[in-house]
Amino acid sequence: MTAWLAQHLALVMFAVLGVALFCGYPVGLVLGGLAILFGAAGWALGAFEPIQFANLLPRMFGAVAANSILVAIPMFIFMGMLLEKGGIATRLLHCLEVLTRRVPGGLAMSVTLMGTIMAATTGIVGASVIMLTLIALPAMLARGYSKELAAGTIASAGTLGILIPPSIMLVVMGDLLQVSVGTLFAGALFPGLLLSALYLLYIGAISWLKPGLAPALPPDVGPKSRAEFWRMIGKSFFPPVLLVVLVLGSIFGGWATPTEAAGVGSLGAIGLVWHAGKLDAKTVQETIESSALTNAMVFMLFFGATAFSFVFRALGGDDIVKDVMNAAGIDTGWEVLIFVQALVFALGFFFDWIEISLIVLPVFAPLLRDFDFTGHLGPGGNTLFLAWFIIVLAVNLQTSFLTPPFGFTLFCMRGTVPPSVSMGDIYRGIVPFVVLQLIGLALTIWLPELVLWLPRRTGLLL
Amino acid sequence: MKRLLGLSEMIDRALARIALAAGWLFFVATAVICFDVVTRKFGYQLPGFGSTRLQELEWHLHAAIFSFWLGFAYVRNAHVRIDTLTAGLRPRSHAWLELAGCIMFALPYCVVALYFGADYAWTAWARNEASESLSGLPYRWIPKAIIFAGMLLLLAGVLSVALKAITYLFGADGLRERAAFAGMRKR
Repeated sequence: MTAWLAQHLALVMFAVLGVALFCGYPVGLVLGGLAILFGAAGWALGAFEPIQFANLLPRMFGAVAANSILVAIPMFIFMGMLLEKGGIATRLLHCLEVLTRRVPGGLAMSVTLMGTIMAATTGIVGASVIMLTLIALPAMLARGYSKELAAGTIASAGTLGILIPPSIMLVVMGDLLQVSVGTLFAGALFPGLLLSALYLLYIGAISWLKPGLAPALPPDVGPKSRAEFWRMIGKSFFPPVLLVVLVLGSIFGGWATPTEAAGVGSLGAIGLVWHAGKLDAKTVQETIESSALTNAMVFMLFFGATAFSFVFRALGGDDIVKDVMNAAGIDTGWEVLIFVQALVFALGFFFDWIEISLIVLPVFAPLLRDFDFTGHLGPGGNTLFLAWFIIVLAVNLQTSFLTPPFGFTLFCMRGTVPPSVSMGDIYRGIVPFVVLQLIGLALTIWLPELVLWLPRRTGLLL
Repeated sequence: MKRLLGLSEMIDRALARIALAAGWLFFVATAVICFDVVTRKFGYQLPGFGSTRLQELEWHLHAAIFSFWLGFAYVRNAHVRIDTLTAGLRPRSHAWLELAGCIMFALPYCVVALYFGADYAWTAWARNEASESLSGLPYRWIPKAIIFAGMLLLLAGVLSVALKAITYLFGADGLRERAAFAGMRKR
């Protein structure tokens, strides 16, 4: 018994994690605590030496702190928060609403467009869905939109931000699987835009067929004269769009690393908030506080997960994962791919992408390194496969977050919507978007060039 | 009990002060990155501030930004939890769970990290470690000490929350309202 336990301690550790996470204690600390507890258990069983804990600090330091790639995360969060707290996002939404006033479902389309443009603000699903619900839902309900369409649009637009660059999720996944972040940003652009276009088409079609679902903007709202209209475009529309285009363009063009683009983007965002006359003490305080709290949350998870996967490895976790997969008959590339995707889809019912990436990817990374999928993707080796794999994973996660009854996005939304919007409204509203997601997912898997064309073209992938 | 709660509130105030001061580093990091990008594109170099040094400075700042907020984020309940199963529990049960979590998970983690972290930072100081790169920054003990400080602040945050949970569970009725810590309320 003891011998079996000593050999399979990593497996037990993973099982205990599955239970302990649900006790409601902060995930990062649960991960860190389990690392220490199972290190001690391994010591008692002769499978771990306490001195091995000394390697923990160099890992936490080297992989999390002294990591130039991860510096992009606080900077993108900061840039996004500036745009949100500085009121740039709200004004952009209003501007889009006016621009699309003659299109059926204009306001819903504006929400989707804002989710696309402001993807940086919406890097963390929980935070972004809550923000979009607060900004857009009251406006949509006030205009007489159907609750279902409003809820579905907001949930899908809020989840779009994890895929569309600059995406914090892709920074994390790229760091974990050692794929360049620029490559991933370029790879995610077309799948993201495709999904966004599918959403817009659906909103347009349903609002055209059933105009009662999405009433047009009343004529007395918006700018009164042509001059006022252009002033609004110049002040609220072009600056944020230009900022996002510059940030992405400088990465794709190879002029700047994602970290540099995020830093310069933050300066740009400060400029925009100043230009809007909102760079006051209150906005600055709120921005700093929300950015730093979100950032600390992310890096607490990084610290905990680093400790967890370190002890998991030290207890022989990598071999056990391979053995278990072999015993289950999952060993060809496609089988592993489908298995990991299915696992992540299921985990997306309960966890945000940070926990999933930080816990699951290190476990399967050694396995994933064995494949190249040359037959499906063309020559390019393992890096090419990993880049495509991550984008498929991202679209898959989005789909999972939106799928009723458990989807993580829907769960976050429930706490924020006014009582007049029921869970049933949210479920009914999201179903068409889940179907669109599945189409997008199928296309991403079936036509890998959708992902790989831009990185190849820009020379980010050789 | 009153003293315990007072201590907890004192810790919270100290954590808030440190965190809010460190928050300004977002602006410093923005400035450093922009300065680096601009000087590199123009091929100009301020003596002593080469690109390697600036880029190392960037992650030093990054380390400080998240380290100094780890503890404060805990007392402000910003660390992500999975409360699918526990959301409906009574406040008392929440307090018990929080206390158990502090003792079982957070304390061992902080203590082990601090024990080895002190050694790690101290070695860097004693050996006068510097960047592996010749043109990099000296004093590698500074970022290592920042990580140590971050774990220390996290430990302080854990103590503060644990003290509040204890006061809530065993304190007089009058103290209970004050001790209702963030983890028991909806965010």
